[in-house]
Parts: sequence; structure tokens; C-alpha cells
Amino acid sequence: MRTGATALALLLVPALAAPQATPPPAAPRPPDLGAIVAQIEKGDAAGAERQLRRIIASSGDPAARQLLARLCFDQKRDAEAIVELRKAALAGPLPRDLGLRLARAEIADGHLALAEQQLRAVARRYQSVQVLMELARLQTRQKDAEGALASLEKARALAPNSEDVLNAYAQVSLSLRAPMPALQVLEPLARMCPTVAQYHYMLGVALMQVGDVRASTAPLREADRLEPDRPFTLIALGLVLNTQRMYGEAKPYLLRALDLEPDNVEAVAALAESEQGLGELEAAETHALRAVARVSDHAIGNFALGMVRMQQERYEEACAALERALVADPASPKAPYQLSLAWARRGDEAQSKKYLEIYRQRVREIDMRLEQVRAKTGISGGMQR
Amino acid sequence: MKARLAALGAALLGAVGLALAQSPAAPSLLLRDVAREAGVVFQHQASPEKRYIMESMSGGVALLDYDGDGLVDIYLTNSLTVDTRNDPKAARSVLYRNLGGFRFEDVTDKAGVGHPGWAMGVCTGDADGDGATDIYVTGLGRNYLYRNNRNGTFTDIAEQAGVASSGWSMGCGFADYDRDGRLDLFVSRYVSVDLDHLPEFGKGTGKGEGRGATCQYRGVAVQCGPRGLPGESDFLFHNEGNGRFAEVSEKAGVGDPHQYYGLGIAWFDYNGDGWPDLYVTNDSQPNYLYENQKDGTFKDVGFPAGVAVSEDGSEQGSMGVAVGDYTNSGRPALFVTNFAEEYNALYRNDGTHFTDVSFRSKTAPASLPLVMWGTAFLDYDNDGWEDLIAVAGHVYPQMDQVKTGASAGYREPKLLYHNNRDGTFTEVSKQYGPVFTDLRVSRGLVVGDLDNDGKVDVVVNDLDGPAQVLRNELPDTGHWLTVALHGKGGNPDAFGAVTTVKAGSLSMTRWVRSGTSYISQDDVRQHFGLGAQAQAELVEVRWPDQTTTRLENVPADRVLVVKQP
Repeated sequence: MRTGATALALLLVPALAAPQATPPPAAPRPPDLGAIVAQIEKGDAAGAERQLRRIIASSGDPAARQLLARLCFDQKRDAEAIVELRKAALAGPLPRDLGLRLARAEIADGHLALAEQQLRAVARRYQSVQVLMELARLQTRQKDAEGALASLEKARALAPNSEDVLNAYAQVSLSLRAPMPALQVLEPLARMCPTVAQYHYMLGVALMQVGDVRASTAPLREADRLEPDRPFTLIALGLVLNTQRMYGEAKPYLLRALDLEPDNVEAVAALAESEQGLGELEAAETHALRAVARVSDHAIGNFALGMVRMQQERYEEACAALERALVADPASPKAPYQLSLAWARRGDEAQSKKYLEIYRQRVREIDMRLEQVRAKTGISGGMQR
Repeated sequence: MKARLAALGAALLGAVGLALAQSPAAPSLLLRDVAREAGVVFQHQASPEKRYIMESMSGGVALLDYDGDGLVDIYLTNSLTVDTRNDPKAARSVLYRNLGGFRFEDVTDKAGVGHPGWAMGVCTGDADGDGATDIYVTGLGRNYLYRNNRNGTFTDIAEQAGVASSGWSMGCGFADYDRDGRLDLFVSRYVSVDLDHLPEFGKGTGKGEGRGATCQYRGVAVQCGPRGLPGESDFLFHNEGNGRFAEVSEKAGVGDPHQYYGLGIAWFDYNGDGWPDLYVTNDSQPNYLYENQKDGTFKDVGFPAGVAVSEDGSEQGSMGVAVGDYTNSGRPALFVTNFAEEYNALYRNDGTHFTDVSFRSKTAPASLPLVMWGTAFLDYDNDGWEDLIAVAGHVYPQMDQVKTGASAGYREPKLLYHNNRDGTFTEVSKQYGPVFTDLRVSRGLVVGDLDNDGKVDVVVNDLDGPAQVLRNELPDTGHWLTVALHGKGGNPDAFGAVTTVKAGSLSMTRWVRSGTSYISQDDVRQHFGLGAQAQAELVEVRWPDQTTTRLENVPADRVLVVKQP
């Protein structure tokens, strides 16, 4: 209790000092909270609380509310503390720590807009990296990608070499499927911290997201080496190896992922793709059907099923599965290419041409995206030919 | 104690047995490099760093019987480099006359075919219809048509014949696409380069087309291109019959309006309608399959036919192409060699379209790390089923500095696939020793029977090393039949003819083609392994004009000459 009270007091001093140094000319004289702090330090918390409540009742003084909130927090009476903080916040900006606590309480209560407002106010006033990161997390939760990245950009400006900030920046970027900003920090991060599997994993995922699967393989392999048997890494490796048609190499990773997580639909679908590539049609069909039974619009599951049906010359069913794959992953050229073949084999030249044009458009988009990545990051998958 | 010792002994014996079982067997002899002892001492000129793309692409080779003695001769192209470009004599292409018994004589100077400048590819055919085989050499700047004077000498008549072309030509092949009885000529072209304004190594001017920088590979400075450099259109030359050819590419619909980076070519009748179709491999861009419309024009059906790109729709860096009937179905399949981290594509012919069976056939995985070029279907063990061979070698010597990725280094091994007779292959190169596993920078590869012993031999032109003459010395091979066709009129090689041989349960089909592999020319004679069959019950030739010749009960183990009636 004594320690907590001392800490309270220490925190309070600068907050109190500021208004005393430049009191607004028309404002009423602030109450002498220093005496109350001393009272708390002496261990008379109850007396201090009575005095604070009197001051609040008479003047609604926000500083008194803040001190009362600290007292309540110290006594584990968080709900009462938050009530006081909400009222104090209406009168003006809160100190950094109290602003953060209020914001977290608002988040817990589902008042996300209020929480964001609080965090923005604190961030504006204190230029705090921690607050900016909290704000970014909240914005992420609210699907405000640009806002989150803007907050983290500010944090990066304040702490450009902070591993925590860079990590958060990358995570937010990736969670929002915005791999370009992630790549800008992950490449140096993985180099600075070569033994952290997570950074290599995220770098691999970021490269996957921009479509540079060749470049993504090495960091994913490194992540797997540093931290083996992590299902996400195993599945990611399986996916990028499949994309490079290294089906024989992909399959063991995916089987291992399924050992660890037997119901993981991503692993089942990717395994179906490996098996289809290896010509193991029966197994591929079984796994593809299992994947789409779990997630009917699964892109990889449907693509693998479509490929199986193509090989079985069941073109109508192939078209249906490939169409679902295209809807689930409209950016990929694979499904429209196969659809163009399937329709050609069904004798419908117009449909075949339609999907061929979609395929060509997707290829152009990927080329442009890769060039943007390489221009911005200098990372090269090596395929300039 | 005794029991324990016995158990230990048994365990040790087991271990020894295991070790013995796992020890690698000595490689069997299949192909032996006899180049030096045969008198073939050719080495392609090479710049060490390959700072410019033109210095990485040459290396065609042709097998031809230029003197009509029944023995296959060898022509190897050689190219200038940027450093030697002002000395036209610096690069010497070589013609070796086959003296028999695996002895060859350099007859280049007498023949007058030694200095076609920046020579790249080569194909053969009787361009002027005089019954003798002429040589067409593609290159940078202009091409050469060496007319066979029938006296051991040749004369370049490219300019007067109208086939000197321009720009940078790579693949070529003769075919009578309109069935008028005269051989026409297709030439693929690659990249547009200006020797006076070359892109700077590692930096260059390689921007454009949305492709971005093209002069770095995995962070290492390399030659620029092809991406970022403008491509060139292709040419079809129609034989006018008066010693001249007319350029009809655009009219015929094979002019390559996209100006893709053209390399290998294959004339073949993919749909069995009796009219030559044309396949063109393009580096890093979709390949063309031009279907003959039977009216002097073609239609590109590469995409709907399923042979333009890889199975997942990726444009691959396609180099060479082989045509063969590996399933003994009577339909020609395509095998296309590609760049590293891509796969060699095996397209099975299903009649009206192709299916990419590269992975199912088990041909793809071994090719993924390699940049592959010359390739051919060949029945190396005469079992009646066509196997596959392909040679490799990167374009960037700087590859040896690159530590990441799945690519191999600059020098790379060959691949040999044995046909399992069930639509799959087994890659067996390691069984056959250093001829296959030695690392080289190969380009052109051709197959043919150099000593008429019924076993298919191989010749390889390397960019950075001596050419190889690989004699087939595999013991205990099956029976065989080599069919040499003599067509009539202006097509004495009978390009476009289809030969089917039936022997026991085997039914094998071959296509007579000009322009094969990677910018090269195989022996035009058709080789058939007959396995245990001592005779062919039927040899059927469908000539280019669609007349047929049928021969029954033909004894095996001979070169069978069939003349068109």
C-alpha cells in the first residue's frame, strides 16, 4: 500500500505542477491536493477519499477526480475509478497513464469510439510510442487500416529502431493484408534479429501476400529451422512450395502440419493441391472434397478439385469447382486459365476467350504488383526473365 | 553371453549387408564422349562474363548428310562476341564430314561454311529443290543460306533468295506448309539489340513494358534482358519456286504481333489432318501453336490447346522443344525445356488438345533447378518406347555467386528420362555416369545414328566447353529399324512425312521434321527401337502429299530407304 501510494504521488506531481505554473486567469483557485497526497502517503486513504469527494461535490474539480481515480485503482475499485475518469476526461485531457487506463476500460466495455478518442488525445499530448501502438491496435480492430498504419508510422518516427514498434507495424500490415509496408520493416527486422523465427515467418508471409513466392521460401524455411513444428509455418511452406510446383517437397510439410492439427482445412486443401500435382488423383480428390466440405468456397480446395476433375475429363464439374475457386481468390490467374481450357474442351469458344482475358488481366496485375514491390523494397525473387 | 554375441554378430552382418545394398553401383555405360578421338575438337567461342545477352544464347548443331554418302555429318555453330565483333573471322562454325567408324574430318574451309558471323541456330533442308541438303544458319544481324553445290562446297545465297532476314534470328525450320511441293522456311526472332548501344551490364536501360529492372538476378548484377528489351517479330518465307522466297508472315498469321522472344520451333502435324502446324517457344512469354488453316494461313491455338503456358497459367522461359510419341498412341506430344525454377513441360497430345502431364509423368521435378535447352525424344535402348534427353546450363556465369533460391549454379548436368511405358518416366542420368552428371553449359543437342549401328547417338554444342559427341555404347539393346525417306520434287527429305512402324505389340510413329530441339537439327532419318521383334510387320509412310507407302514384314536391324513413288 505504501509503495502504491508513493507511486501515485510521484505520478501526480507533474500533472499538478503544470496548471500551477500557468494558471488560467479566470479559473477558480485549484484545491490544495498536495495536502491530500501527503495524507495518502501517511496511510490515511479513507480520510483522503472523503476530502476528495467533498472537493468534487463542491467544484467538480477534474484533478480531484483523477486523484480519486488513482486511489480507487490502488484499492482495486476499478469500476469506481473509471466512473471518475470518464467525468474527468470531459473536462480536459488526462495524464498519459490514466488516459490509457480509461481507453482500455472503454475497449473492454465495447465503447471503441470513446477509447479511440481518448487514445488520440493522449497520443497528441504526450507523443507516446506505447499509446500510439495501443491506438493502432484499436484501429486495426475497427478495420481502420490506414489509421492504424498512420499511428504506427508516427510511432516509427519516434522510435525508428524499436523492435516492438517494427514488429507491431509488420503485424498490423499483415493482418490487414497490406504487405508492402510490412516488407519495408520485416526485411531489416529479420536481419537485425536473425534468431527470431516470427520475423522470418512474417517476412515469408508478406512476400507470399505480394505474390513473390520464390523469395518467400527462404525466410519460411529459416522460420521452420528456428522453430520447427509450428503449423502455420509448415502450412505456409507447403503453400509456397506448391506454388513453385515443388509438390514433392511441399507434401511432407503439409502432412506434418496435419499431424499437429488434423482438422486444419488450409493444410488439407494444400495437401490436395500437392497430391494433384504429383498425380495422386485419388488422394487429391479425397482431400479436396474434405476441404470444400468444411469450407465450401475454399480457394485452394476448389482449385485442387477443379484440377482433379480436369484430369478426369469431367469438364462440367471442373468448371463449377474452378468457378468457385475464382470467386474465392479473384486475384489469381490459375483458375481463369484452367477455366479457359475447360470451356475450350467443352467446345464453347466464347466462354474460353472470356476466361482467357480474365487470366491475362490477372497476369498483368501480378506483374505490376511485383514490380512495385521490387522497386520499393529492393527485394527480388530473381525472376526477371 | 554367447547368445548376445550371436545377436551382435547378426546385427553387424545385417549392417554390413545394408551397407553393401546401399553402396552405389558403378555407372553403366550408355553414352561415351568420343569427340576428341573422333576428330571433333570444336569449342564455342565464349566471353567469360557473358555481359550481354547475345553472348549466352548461341550453340546450334545440325546432323545432316550433305554429301549423300549415307553417313550423318555434323555442323556446329559458333558466334562472335562483343569483344570480337569487328573480326568476322574470330568465330568459326565447323562442318565435320563423317568418314565412318566414328571418324570425322573438318571440311569447313573447303565447304565455305565457317564464318556466318553471330551464328546462333541451324536447320537443314533442300531450299532450292535440287535434291541436295542446304544449310540455313540464323544469327544476329543476318542469316545465311548455304546452298549445297553438290561438290563438297556451299555458297551463301541468303540475300538473293530473300531469306537473309535481319535483327536477331534464333530458331528455323523448313516445311511445305501450303503443300505446293516446295519447302518454305520459318524463322523465329528473339530480342532487338543495337550493338552500338548495348544495355549496360547490371544496370542497363532495361525498363519498360511494366517489367521493371532486368539486369539483376537475386541482387547480383547480370546481363540485361530479355525482359525490358523489345522483342522482335518472326518470319515465314514462302518458297516461290524460282530460287526466291517471299516473306508472308503477317499474311499467314504467324508474324508474332506481340513480338515475343522467339527461340525454338517445331513444324509438326499436331491434329493429324495432314497439314503442318507450327509450335514456337517464347522466352518468358506464352508459346504459340499455329494451327494450319489449309489456306495458306494459320491460327494461334496455343492457349485453348493448352500449350502456351504452364499448368497453372505461368509464362515460362521456354527454350527448346521436342516432338515425339512417347505413349505409342500415334499422336505427337511436346516436351518443352524451360528456365530455372520453372519446369520442363510435357504436353500429352489428346487428339484435339494437349494436357500438361509434366508432374504426373514425373519429368518435371528434376528440371526445376535447371535452365534447359536442347532436347529430344530418343529410344536409347531400342525397347520401342521413346525416352527423353535434355541438356542444361545457366545464362549467367554470376549464378555461382547467388546463394539463395532453388536454382543450380552456372554449370549444370544433363537429364535422361527412361520411359516406363505407362505414361511416366524415371530420371536415370545418375546411372550412366559422368557424361550426364558432369556440369556443363550446354545449348544445342541433336540425336541421330552417327555410325548406322542402330543405336541413337547424341551431339551437344556447349557454350563454355568443348562440343560432345556421345556414342551410344549401351550393350544388349533391342532390334531396330532406321527409316530414311526420299521424297520427290522439292522436298527430298520428305519433311512433313509421318512414318508408323508396327512390330509385335509395338506401334510407333515418327514425324520427319526440319528445325528441332533448341535451334538445331536432328538426323532427319527416323529411328525405331523394336525390342525383341526381329522384323516389323508393317512400315507405313504417309508422305507430305498424303499418299502412302506400305511395306510389310521388313527385317530389323537395317537402314531402310523408302522412296516416294
